[in-house]
Amino acid sequence: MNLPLEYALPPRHWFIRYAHQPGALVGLGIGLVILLIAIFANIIAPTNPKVTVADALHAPSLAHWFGADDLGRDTFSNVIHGTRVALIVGLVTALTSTLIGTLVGLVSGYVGGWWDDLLMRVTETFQMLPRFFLALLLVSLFGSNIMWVALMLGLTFWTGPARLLRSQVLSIKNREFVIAARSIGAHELAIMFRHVLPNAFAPVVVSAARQIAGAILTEAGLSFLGLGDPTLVSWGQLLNNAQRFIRTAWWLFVFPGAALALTILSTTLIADGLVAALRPQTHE
Amino acid sequence: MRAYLVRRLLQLAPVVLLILAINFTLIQLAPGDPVLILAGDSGNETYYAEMRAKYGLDRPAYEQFARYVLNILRGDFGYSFRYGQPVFAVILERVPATLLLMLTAQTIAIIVGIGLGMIAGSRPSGNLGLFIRTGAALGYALPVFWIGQLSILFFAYQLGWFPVYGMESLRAGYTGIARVFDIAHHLALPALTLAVVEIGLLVRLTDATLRDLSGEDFARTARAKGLRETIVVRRHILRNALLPVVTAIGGQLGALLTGAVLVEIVFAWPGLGRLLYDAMLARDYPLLMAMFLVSAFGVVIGNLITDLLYTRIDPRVRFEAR
Repeated sequence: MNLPLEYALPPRHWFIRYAHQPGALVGLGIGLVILLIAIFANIIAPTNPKVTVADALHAPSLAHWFGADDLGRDTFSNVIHGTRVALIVGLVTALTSTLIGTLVGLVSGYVGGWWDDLLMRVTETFQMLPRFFLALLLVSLFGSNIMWVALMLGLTFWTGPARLLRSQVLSIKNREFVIAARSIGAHELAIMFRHVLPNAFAPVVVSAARQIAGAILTEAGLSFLGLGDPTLVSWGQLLNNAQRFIRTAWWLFVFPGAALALTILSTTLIADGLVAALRPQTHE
Repeated sequence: MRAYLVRRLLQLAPVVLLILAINFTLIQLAPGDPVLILAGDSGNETYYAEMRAKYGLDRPAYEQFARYVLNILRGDFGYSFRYGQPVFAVILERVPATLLLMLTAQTIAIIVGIGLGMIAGSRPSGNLGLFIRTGAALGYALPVFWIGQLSILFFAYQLGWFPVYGMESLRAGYTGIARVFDIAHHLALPALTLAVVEIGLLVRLTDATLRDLSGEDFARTARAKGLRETIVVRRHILRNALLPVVTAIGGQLGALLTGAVLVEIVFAWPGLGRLLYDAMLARDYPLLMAMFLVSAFGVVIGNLITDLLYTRIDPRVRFEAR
């Protein structure tokens, strides 16, 4: 009998299921390239992104592939260096929000009762806040250091993973293997972290991948409003600067925007691939 | 129904209180004197003294919070130096332009997004479905302000189909129906830009929900009765698929507002986005704080409306509420 791949293989072979999806592989490929570019930005970028190396508004040419801005700074070098800000924000935010969300969701689902009520009310309330405006307020009041921006986005992004994990924990906490662990005298904390959490975690992984995209887009939006880290180059800033030259210098916004879109597309494809790969454990 | 409404309104009270508490905490925690945040960066000492007295800044924190909440409840959101009037009035003046943009974009997105999602969802395999799904993933991945910049370059500058900036041709002095057409002409490009991301989301969601539901028992029963597939989809599956879609639309309100703000800056649309941008450049903190409050309240009210829509779409919700 020919079972669909997602049922024919045991859950632990998720990477095989992942590798059978062309879209997911493309996403992973783009993602890896972007990661390498971010790590080796200093070597790849031909010029220092903050230094004038060409005429003002130099059009794309062999010497300057993506042209130059109004101060003669090389756009290609700027786009290359922008990957760093994007990835730092994406990864740190996703890590922070997943950590907070995991703790809240686990306690809420596993402990239940009064704690569950309280934590879920708080989560629902947080979910209603307009995140972007909150982030904007926080950045304009407390400064826009890149790590701070990422942490702060994490503080506004955790509600999704918290709710996901809670519903997973609720469906798992009364299964036989949990009861078995308790019956042999395992500590409640050990059951929570060693037995329940690993079995409930799959959807949270998917949501973390989606949050990378969300965080990168939010940071780009903040930078586009002029609230980015002034010491670093980010795609949002480049797009903000390009706003004055839409008619005269298309290269100033086409390339940074394309880099941003490719990054978001890559994480979306990876997340979609993970959903299918982790299918028996996710109910997205 | 009325009992349900009252219950929902009561549930919103803690939300509103938390929003106020966050705002208050931010004022307290921000570096520097809180009076700067409440009165703005104007440097006027007599005004600062007045504001210290009004908000009781020398009193204990709980009293300060009580005064803050009372002032908000009275509709006093602070005073903007840049505009020389109460911030609430400044904001209200800009709301219609943003609402017009958001509602138009949302209407386009709902019609096109759910429509394309239905087409894709009823064709799990095949090229058309694949094409729509790929397009949706792409639309969802594009930063909204970048789509705006691209469409200005292409549709406004290159093709000259649409005006580049603003909400109407003020110099032309149109009135009546001519003015309506003029505004619609200016509205088209920003609204379509804003709709693209929302369409991407709705297509993905409708498609996924339809595909999930088409394997359910009720769908199988409908097919077993011998109904045509289009009827099965339209009458049976789509009705059930609407619930998650409506939830998503309601949950997207904050994101839509954000998108509108960014799109407004690209197209110089005279709504809240421009106001926000100018407030930030001028470090007009009372205006920034009030905009957060107003947008948060707006999202809360939007969520309430979504919940009420539920009871229309799904009778089960209404029965539970009783």
